[in-house]
Amino acid sequence: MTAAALLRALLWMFAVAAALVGLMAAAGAWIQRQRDRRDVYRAACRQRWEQEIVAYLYEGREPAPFMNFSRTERHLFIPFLLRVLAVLSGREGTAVRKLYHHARLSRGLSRRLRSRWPRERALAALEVGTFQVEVHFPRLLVLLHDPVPFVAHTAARGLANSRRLEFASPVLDWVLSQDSFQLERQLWILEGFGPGLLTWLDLRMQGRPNPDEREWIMFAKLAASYRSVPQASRLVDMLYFDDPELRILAVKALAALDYAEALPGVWPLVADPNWVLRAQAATALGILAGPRAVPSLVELMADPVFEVRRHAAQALYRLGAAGAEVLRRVAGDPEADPFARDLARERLQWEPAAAP
Amino acid sequence: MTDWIQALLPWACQWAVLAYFLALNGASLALTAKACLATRRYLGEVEADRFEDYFESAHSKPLTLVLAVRDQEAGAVAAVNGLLGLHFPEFQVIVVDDGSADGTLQRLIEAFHLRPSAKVVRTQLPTRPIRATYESAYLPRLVVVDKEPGGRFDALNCGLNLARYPLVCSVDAGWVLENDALLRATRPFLDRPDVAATAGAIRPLNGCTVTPMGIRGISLPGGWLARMQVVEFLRTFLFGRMGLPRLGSLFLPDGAFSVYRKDLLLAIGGYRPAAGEDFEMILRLHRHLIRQGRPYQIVMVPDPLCWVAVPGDAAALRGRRRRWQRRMLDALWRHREMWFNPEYGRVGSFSLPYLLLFEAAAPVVELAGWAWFACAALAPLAHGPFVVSFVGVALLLGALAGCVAVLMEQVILHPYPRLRDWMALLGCAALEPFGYRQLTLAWRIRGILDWLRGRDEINS
Repeated sequence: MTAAALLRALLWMFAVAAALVGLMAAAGAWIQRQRDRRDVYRAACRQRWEQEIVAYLYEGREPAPFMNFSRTERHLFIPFLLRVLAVLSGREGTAVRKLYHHARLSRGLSRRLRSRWPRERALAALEVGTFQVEVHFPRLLVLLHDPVPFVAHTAARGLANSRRLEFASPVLDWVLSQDSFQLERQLWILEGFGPGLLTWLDLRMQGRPNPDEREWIMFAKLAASYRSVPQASRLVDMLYFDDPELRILAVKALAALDYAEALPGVWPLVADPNWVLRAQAATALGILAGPRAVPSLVELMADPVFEVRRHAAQALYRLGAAGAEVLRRVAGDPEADPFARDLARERLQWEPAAAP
Repeated sequence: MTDWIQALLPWACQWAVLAYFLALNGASLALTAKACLATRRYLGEVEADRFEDYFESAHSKPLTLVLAVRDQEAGAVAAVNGLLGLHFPEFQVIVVDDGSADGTLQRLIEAFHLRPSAKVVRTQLPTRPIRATYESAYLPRLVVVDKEPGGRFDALNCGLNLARYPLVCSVDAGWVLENDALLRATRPFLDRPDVAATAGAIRPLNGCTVTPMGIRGISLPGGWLARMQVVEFLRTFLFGRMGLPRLGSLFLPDGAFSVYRKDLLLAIGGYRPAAGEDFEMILRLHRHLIRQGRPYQIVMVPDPLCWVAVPGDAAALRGRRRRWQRRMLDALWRHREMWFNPEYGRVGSFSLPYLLLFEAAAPVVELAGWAWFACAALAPLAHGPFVVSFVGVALLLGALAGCVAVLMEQVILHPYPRLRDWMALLGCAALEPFGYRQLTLAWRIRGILDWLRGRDEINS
C-alpha cells in the first residue's frame, strides 16, 4: 500500500464518519426543535383548557371552546381529558364524558383500535373504556385476544371499567387464562366492575360443579376488598376446603369483614399444621372473638414459628386492655417462652402504661 | 515451517484483533437497537397504564428500603428524609448504622425523635451483633439499627433480617431517587409473577439541580471527565443492560439501583463479603433459580430512577474503575463453573461468555490491540490494510456506536431539554474512543492486577 493510498483511505473514512456524526447531530437538533415546539404548544393549550374546563364543570359554561379542534389539538386534548377524568368521578366525571362525546373526539377510534402499533391500540382501548364509547365495546372484546399482553390488558380494563356485567364473563375468562400477569393486577381489573361482580361470580360458581380454584381466590380477595358481607357464608364454606391456600384467603377475608358468625370455623385453625393458617387464624381470632380469644392467642405466643408468634402478639396488642394485660404478664414472666417474652416486650414498648 | 509461522502469526493476530473490535462495537450497536425497541415498547405500556393508578391500588406490593450508613454524619439525615418522602403506598425504611465512629447515630436520633425499641430480630442471615434498635412514634415506617461494624454486606444482611415486606431494595446515602422511583421499579413485580428482581437506570447527578423536592433541572456536567461518564453510563448501563433481559440474561453493575424479592435473597444467603455485592448477587440469583428449574425474569426499567454523583476528577474515577474491574473478576471467578456451561441455559452459554470476553477481558485484549496498532503505525506502509481497518473498526465504529446511543436516547427518552447539552454529549460520544477509553482501559488493567495480587479493599 502506498503512502498516498493509505492517507486517502484514512481521510475518506474520517470524512464518512464525520458526515454520519453530522447527520446525527442534525437529526437530533431537528427532533429537539420539534419536541420543544410541541411542548410549548401543549403547555399553552393545557393552561387554556384548565381554565375552560373549570368554567365548564363548575360554572355551567357551554362546552363551546372544545367544539372546533384541529387534529393536533384533538391529539393533545384527549390525554388531557384522560388525566382530568382520573381525578374526577360522579357528576363531574359524567360531565367530562359528555364533553368527550359532544366534541366528537371518538372520531378515528375504530381505525386506532385496528392500528398496527400496539401503543396506539392500547391507548384507543383505554379511551373506549374511560369515556364509555359503547359502540366500540365489541372491538375491545376482540382486543382481549391481542398478541401483545399490555394491549389485551388495557382492553380488559376498559371492559371492566364499563361496569357492565355482560362483559364480566369474557373478562373473567381472559383473566383466568392469563399466566403472565400477577394476581394483584388481575384483581385490579376485576374491581373495575364494582361490587356487583361478587354476586355474579357467586352465581357463576354455583352453576358449575367444579369451579376453577383461581375463581375462588378471586372471589375471596374481592369479597375482602369490597367488605361484602352478603358473600360471607360462601367464605365460611371455604374454611372447610382441602386447599390450604383457599382456607387462608377465606380466613383473611372473614377477618376483613369482621364476620363473627365464622368463629366456629376459625377457632380450630389455631391447631392447623400449616403455619400460615395458624398465623392468619391468630389475627382473625383477635378481630372476631375479642377478649375471648386471649387463651388461644397466649398458646400461639409460644408457637414454634416466628411469624405465628408475631401475629399472636399483634392480635393481643390490638385487643387493648385485655391483651395488654396478658402481654405484660408474659413479658414479666421469667419462665415464659423466651421468644414469646421478647415479642410481648416489643409489642408493649409503645404502650407506656402497659410496660412491665 | 518457521518462516511460515513467522509470516502467519502476525497476520492471524492482526485479524483476531480486528475481529474482536468488530464484535465489540457491533454487539454494542446491536444491543442499542434491541434496547431501543424494548424501551419504546415499555413507554407505550406505561402510557396506556399510568403509574398514578398504582399508588391508589390496594394491591401494590409493599417494600423495604435498606440504607447502610457508616460515618456519614453530614448526609445521613438528608438521605433518610429523602427516602421517607418517596411516593409509594406502603414501605419501610431500615437504616443500619454499621458502627459509625462519628455522630451519625446521634444525628439520626435527634432528627427523627428516635427512642430505643425492643424490636425482635429474626436472624435469618448471620450478622455482627446488634447493639440497639431505635424507632420513632412519629415515623412508624422508620427503623434505625446500631450494630457492630461488619462491612456494607453485613449491614445489608442485618437490614434483610429486619425487613418486613416481600420486596427489598438496598440504597446508598449518596443517591437521589426520583419521587416515583419505587412505583416504577416495583411495577414489573405486579405485572408478572415470575419477576425475581428489577433494576432501574442510573444517571449521573453532576450538573443537575437538586432541591428538597428532588431533581429540578437536568443538565450536563461541566467537566469533560464527567461528561464522558454520561456517555459510558448510557451505552453500558442503559442500552447495554436494556438489551440483555430480552435475551434472558441481565446482569447488574455494582451499585445498581435494584429491587429484589426478599424470599429469594434469603434463599441465596443474602449479601456476601469480598465481592461486588449486586453483581455477585445477581449471578447467585441466576444460578439458584436455574438450578431449581424455575422460570424467572430479571427486568430492567429504562426510566432514570436514581441519580448518582460520578467522580469529577481522574484520581477518584481511577479508583472506581479499578474497584469495579476487581469486583467483577472476583464475582465471575467465584461462579466459574457457570462459564460456557449449557446447564445454565443462556446465562451460561451466552451472557457469561459475553461478559468475560467483552467486559472482563476487554482491557487486556483492547490494550493489546492498541499496542499492536501502535507497532503497525510505526511502519504504516507495511501494515496499511490493518492500520486502515483498525482505525475504521476500533475508532470510528466505536465512536459511531456511542453517537447512535446518544441519538437514540434523544429520540426515545429526551433527557436533556437544552440543545447545547445534547450537542456536547454527542461530541463526547464521538471523542470517547480517542483517549478516554484507553485511559479507562489502563485503569481497569490495574484492577485486574489488583485482583491477581489478591488485593481486597471491597468492604473497606
